[in-house]
Amino acid sequence: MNFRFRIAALAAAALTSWGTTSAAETPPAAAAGAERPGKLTKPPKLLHFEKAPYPESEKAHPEKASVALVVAIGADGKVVEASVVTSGGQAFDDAAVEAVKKFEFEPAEIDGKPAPVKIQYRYDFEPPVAVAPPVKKTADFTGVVREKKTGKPLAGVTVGFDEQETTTDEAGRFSFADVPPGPHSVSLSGPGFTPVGTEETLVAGHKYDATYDVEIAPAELPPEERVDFEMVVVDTQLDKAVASTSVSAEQGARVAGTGGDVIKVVENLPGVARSSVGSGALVVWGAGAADTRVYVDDVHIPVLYHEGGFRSVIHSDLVQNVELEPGGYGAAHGRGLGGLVTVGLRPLDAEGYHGSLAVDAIDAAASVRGHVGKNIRFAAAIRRSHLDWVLGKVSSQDVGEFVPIPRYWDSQIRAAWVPHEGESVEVGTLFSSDRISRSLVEADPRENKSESRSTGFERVYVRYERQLDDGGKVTATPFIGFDHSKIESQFGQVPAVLSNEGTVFGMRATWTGNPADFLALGAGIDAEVLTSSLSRYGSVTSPPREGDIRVFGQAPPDLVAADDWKTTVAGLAPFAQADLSLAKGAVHVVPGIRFEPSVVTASRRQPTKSDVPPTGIANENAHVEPRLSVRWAATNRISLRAAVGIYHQPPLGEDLSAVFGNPTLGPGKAVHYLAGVTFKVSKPISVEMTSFYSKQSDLVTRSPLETPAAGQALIQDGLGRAYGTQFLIRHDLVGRFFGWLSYSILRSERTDGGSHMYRPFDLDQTHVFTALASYDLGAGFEVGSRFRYSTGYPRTPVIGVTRALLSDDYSPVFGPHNSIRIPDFYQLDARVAKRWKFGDTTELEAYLDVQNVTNHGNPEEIVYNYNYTRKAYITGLPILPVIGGKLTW
Amino acid sequence: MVRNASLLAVAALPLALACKPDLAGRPSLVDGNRLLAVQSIPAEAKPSDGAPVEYRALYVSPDGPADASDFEWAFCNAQKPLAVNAPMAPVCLARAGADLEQFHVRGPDVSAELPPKACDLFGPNPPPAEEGKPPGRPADPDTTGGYYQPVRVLLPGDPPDFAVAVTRLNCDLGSATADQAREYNGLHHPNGNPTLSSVELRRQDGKSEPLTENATTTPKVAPGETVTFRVTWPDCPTTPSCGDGICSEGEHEQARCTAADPKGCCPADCGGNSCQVDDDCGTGGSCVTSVCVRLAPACGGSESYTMLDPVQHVLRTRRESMRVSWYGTNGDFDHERTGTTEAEATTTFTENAWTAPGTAGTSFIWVVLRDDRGGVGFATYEIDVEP
Repeated sequence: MNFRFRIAALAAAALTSWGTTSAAETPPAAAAGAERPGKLTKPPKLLHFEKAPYPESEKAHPEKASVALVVAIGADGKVVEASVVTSGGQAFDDAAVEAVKKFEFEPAEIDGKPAPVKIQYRYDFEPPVAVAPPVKKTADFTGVVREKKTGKPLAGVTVGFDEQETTTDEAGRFSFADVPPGPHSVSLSGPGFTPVGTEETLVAGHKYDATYDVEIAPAELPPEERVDFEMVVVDTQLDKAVASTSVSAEQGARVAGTGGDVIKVVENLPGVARSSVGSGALVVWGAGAADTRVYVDDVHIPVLYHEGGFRSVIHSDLVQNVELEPGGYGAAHGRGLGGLVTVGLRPLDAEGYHGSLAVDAIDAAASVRGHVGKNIRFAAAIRRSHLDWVLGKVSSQDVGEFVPIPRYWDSQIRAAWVPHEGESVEVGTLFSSDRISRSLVEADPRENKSESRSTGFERVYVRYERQLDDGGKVTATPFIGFDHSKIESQFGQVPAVLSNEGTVFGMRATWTGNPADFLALGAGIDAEVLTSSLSRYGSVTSPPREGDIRVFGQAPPDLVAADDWKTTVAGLAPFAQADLSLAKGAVHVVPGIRFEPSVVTASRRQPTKSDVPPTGIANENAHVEPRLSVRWAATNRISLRAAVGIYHQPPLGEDLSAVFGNPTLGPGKAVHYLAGVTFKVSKPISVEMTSFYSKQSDLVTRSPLETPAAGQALIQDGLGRAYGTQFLIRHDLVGRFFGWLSYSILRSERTDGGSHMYRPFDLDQTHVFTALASYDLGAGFEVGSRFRYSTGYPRTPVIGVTRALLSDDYSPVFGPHNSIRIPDFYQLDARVAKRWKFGDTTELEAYLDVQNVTNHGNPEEIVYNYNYTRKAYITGLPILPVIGGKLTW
Repeated sequence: MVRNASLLAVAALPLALACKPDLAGRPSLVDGNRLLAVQSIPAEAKPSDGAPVEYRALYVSPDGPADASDFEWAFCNAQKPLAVNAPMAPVCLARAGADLEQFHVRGPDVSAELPPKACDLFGPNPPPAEEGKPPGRPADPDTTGGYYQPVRVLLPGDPPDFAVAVTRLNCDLGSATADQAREYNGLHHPNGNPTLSSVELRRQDGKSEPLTENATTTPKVAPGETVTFRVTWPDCPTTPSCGDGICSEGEHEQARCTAADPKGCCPADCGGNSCQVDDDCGTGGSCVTSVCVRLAPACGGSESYTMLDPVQHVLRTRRESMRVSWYGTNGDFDHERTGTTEAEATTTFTENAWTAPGTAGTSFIWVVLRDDRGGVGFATYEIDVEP
């Protein structure tokens, strides 16, 4: 019973025998009147009490209530009749009468003999008091099925859920309550479309609201072309991101200019600067490219794109979605001052065998997915560039001697053992390799140039994942990997060699759970140890770093040094965060904390001396990084968000050289503040605005001194700040269309060593605008377009020149640092695709992806003539059509 | 704007397709007054010697040699910040200043003594430390292991132009063991300025004629005619050999080369007399690892030299690369500069085609020969362009 019930005797109750009237001595005995004379020698005594339920009809508005009754008790003690004297309301009256009639009494006695009497009783009804329900060990799965084109709900659709079935109501809705957690098969069937199915993995204690959009094609189409199916599942899980943009693989592959590469879509998200052609740098909210962390599920990888930025390092067929959090992310991640990119891998297939073959002018790729029995699932993909081969076939000259042609390959292998649904062990590998080389031989030996760059990484991971009985989830992902990077260039006789061989051990283990309806918790450990062996030879300023003042193509200084050193950067960070759901879920408060102790060691504290053994140095740090985000769904359409967090980033191994850097460097620091609002215009259309401020300190800069102390070529007194606002108007993939408009206005600034004067960050872009859209024309045709506009990068003007007679050239004299800009960039791209379907699952897609449709000459860099009296611009790619095809089954 | 149409067809590689503008202007065309070179004599000097260093400027105009009598010279005694990519500290780009040690003469040919602390400021010695602070970082050497004293040359004008000449410094070896330093000091011989053995004008019919400076008769070419100039420099030994006059690695090792038993060594180049560190080894000689070593005189071509390999931390013998800068008052050179790399040290010449102007007149041609250790040689020639 969820309410309290008691009987109270009336203060002046009357006890009445059917023949006599007598006064009650003790409750509930009170005289009610007498029908015949006699003396009450013993009042009735209640032997059995019947609880009256609080009426269901009154629970919506629970209140106290009382019902006064006259109860006639027979000589045998049983209740003969009960009638209401004072009503508490019909429902309460009825409940009270029904209960009282089941009372049993020890008979009253009149003149020493059992006799019938009447008494008065009063029932007091207390409102029911809510008690915490037990933690739900099941999930609720509800949803709606709609016609994709119109968005109208579809009634009468049969929804299968494992062995259960139901039919959608007039509102297109269906519901399965109290289903066990874990993966479940969901199928839809109905008139006008071929049955389709998918799989949903549910977590106990969560409520899911799925939206399935199905397209009802004209009846004359063959069955295999009559279904287009899309689903969106909303889970009430721990939500940690306040500024996050996620793009599904399906959408990402259809964006013009990406060449079908899902992950390339990150470049088009709000807050991301346009990278210069061929660089592939990921500049998020004005942070350096190395400041943004990239994860594939829980495995940290060093880069997102291959050299030149043509392709990502993960095959699109293995990707489920890609998510960018430009700042203010939760406690689960750290070690980066900038943003966070997470590539989510798609679940491995439990049924069927699938694969793909793809080829275009740049590379070729293949993938397979399948299973062995019920418990083993696998996927593999490989990609290799062939651009160098293509150019060799169509060009009469050795293009590679003049331009850097990227040569790359990547591969991913995944295999999972699933003993039962809800638990899995996956072993995976991620490989990526890049090479670029070129050389330019001139009549002047000082003008000879050569450049070769090889980079790559390998990762081997094991991922254990288990769905707990109480609705929680545990994952553990240990990994080991190797990072390689070697840059060798020769500018005349001036070398620049930087080699970095790293071994990384990592481990991310997390637990998430919902101990209560209003609370979701997450906790874990994020460990990473990177040991690196490095060597470098060349000028201190080559390769250049952010903040160096120079002009494009300028010869590096011919003063050279050399060093080889080893470093270890280790961190073991426990973290925890909670998601407090308040105000009936309208407010989410997500506090988090991360403890980030780290050790940085370098093998040489001082520059090498031939006859002095090196001494190393270890630098220990420990930081507490509080994070907090708040989301408030002010209305069904408007939600507000805010977050603040502290972040630290360990120094790069390259910067820990005693000759070229500083082995005593510690972590840099950033504080992110952001606030935003989301307005849901309609089901597919939303508008987001996020303002941010990122304050950075302890940044590594070059020493401004002429003769810095030994081992202090770099110092750590740089400051940075980035602030701005980003907007996103997004139309989700509903029906045939999806697209978005994103605009960022921001300012990113830095100070240089020894100065607190801010100047624009080298990669600062004030305005970045992207508009993209994709439309399914039907019959397998699809068109898309993308327009991009961005402010040009800052550059430092040349205001004079000095004749350098040793090198027989001119040396520029510079004006204020980064005080001019390359002209603005704008470009229109287009994509046309046609898909042919063969059977149920086989599909051939051919596409034409045209970049820079208008053939606009976008300035990419400023170049000067030999004595800096004239300047012009190197322009980016002209119109660039890329034809490709992809066969999937 | 230059584009490769075949690459457009491939339509794949942005960098391949990026367009580099064709900026007008060629450094070989002397279309205004210009300082082409400054020769330091000697090319390499020890600051502590106190001997004067001569500087000789090659200053030209579209009408031929130009008047450089107003040139103001000064040693720049300021180190440039580590991160600055410039030939000289920016503070020295001035007429006067605390860091400028003015010469007391003006003109195209001047002389001055090197600042005695040049090796501390611009060499491998630790720079003077400020009180209470650790010693600063020594200067890095160039790719030949050398250090240079910058010389600011002010070319009067409004605003004035600045040029930076250098003298290679004969300093000790930085970051070396004591043995390496001793060996290096014995092996090192100062750089000499390269010399132009000959300059020839070759016509398309194969005939050639030598060019000489201040010649009474000048070669004649037709308007628009293309001829080839060949510059030759002295042949220096390409590999160390006994008798080449250069005491090279392995030629002075004490175990194999003593006065008592000279087998396997080269007394002709290295002497071979046992000695102590401060012993007198005669003119041009020094005591290296207990053996008297005699250094060879400078060669005007691609010289051998010893440097400390900064990567392997061992002494290496290398050869100079040579380059020629070509200048003319009119006409067109095929290349602005030509030369030979270290690997091409056996080649003692370089060529460049020149197309005479389409109109008659006198053309001045300047040839500046540089080695990669700061040595400079130059010459001026006149060509008559006649129909």
